Amino acid sequence: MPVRIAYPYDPDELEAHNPPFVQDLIDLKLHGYHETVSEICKMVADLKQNGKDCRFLKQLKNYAILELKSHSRGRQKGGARAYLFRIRENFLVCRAEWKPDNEPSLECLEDTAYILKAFKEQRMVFPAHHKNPITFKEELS
Amino acid sequence: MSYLPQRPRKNSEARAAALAWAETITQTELDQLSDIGIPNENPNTLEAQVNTGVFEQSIGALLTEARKSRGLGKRELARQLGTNHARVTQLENAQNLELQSILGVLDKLEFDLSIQFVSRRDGKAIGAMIPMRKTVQQ
Repeated sequence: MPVRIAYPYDPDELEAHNPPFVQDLIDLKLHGYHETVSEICKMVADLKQNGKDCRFLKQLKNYAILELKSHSRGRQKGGARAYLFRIRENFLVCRAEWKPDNEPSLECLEDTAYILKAFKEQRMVFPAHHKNPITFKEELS
Repeated sequence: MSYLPQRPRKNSEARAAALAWAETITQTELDQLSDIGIPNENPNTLEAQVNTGVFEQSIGALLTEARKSRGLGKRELARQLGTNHARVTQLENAQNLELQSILGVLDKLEFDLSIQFVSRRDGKAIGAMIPMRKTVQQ
């Protein structure tokens, strides 16, 4: 079964220009975390290719939330983290941060859980205007 | 030490409650939910998408800085451009950025545009200067 990757919106911010995960990567890059962003992009690409067998994927203890965690140590790559949840073979990536220690930020966990709960309750997390312009162009060509 | 992008968050109590709820739900329950309507993104274009966002937000921040450097409020600039306050806010928030609008703001604020491409291989730069208006010789 093919793996799908999606970047859901915060249900309270459906009119936002970017979903929170993409906006996190933009903010990280604007603050100089270039390697962190590249590492997270690499991990998401690996997730798309390998699904549940992705080598960066970790189940967070006590929660129905998953984490993409870099295997690199130290510096910008080592702290690359993304938080997501899974619906069958679909991975919905919600937030990202740079955090070299093991504990995820409470804010990232809460926001991911908030999107997950909204999805479970069938609230909208993919607004009608959402369309990755680059992917869209590829679909057209 | 860590870096978490900060943004205003609504419903902080509901978010905390959602996390407590996420302790009670199982993956088996999640797998029973319908996956119809979930988009299929291409992660190979993610970094390009991020770079586009960085580019847009940098332009927006520069437009804000340029306006403030002239001591103008958004309403005053909008009046000079013949548009409304909301459109200036849009441009500065990097929404619906159009090249023609950006150049129009620069011209009105009396800024010229300099573009630089910097080689990642050797740091060498190539660039172009684009004057917004032909200088009138006195």
